[in-house]
Amino acid sequence: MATFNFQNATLKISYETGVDEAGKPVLASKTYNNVRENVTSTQVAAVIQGIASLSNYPLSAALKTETEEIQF
Amino acid sequence: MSQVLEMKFDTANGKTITISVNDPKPGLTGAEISSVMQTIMDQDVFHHEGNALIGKNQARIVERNITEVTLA
Repeated sequence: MATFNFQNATLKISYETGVDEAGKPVLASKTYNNVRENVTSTQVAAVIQGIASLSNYPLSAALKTETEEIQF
Repeated sequence: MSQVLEMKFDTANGKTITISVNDPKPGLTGAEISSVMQTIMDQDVFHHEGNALIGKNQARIVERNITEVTLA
């Protein structure tokens, strides 16, 4: 039976740093490695809101990416 | 001139990991930064090779100055 084997996870936080000539938001993002396995959305949300509170720019979006190896 | 806030944590295996924030809000206090560092530790989202963050090591704001040079 094949299984998924956790490799790593990252969090990507995007900030809105301004708007361009067309009025579209300009985003800047920062990616954080070393995210552990089995974190809850509540834990991640608290950390992201904490980190974003230190930024000069408003939080726009946040993504969690998890990479798993498939073991045969 | 760009600024980066670097928050350094000690891990359970004796290493240090840095979580940084680009363009930090001007005038952040040590108390504000310390409180976010505490949240990051309490929520236990980041690990280093399976080792939790166990202490606040240091926080610093790093500035980078870029002066463009006119090529002769």
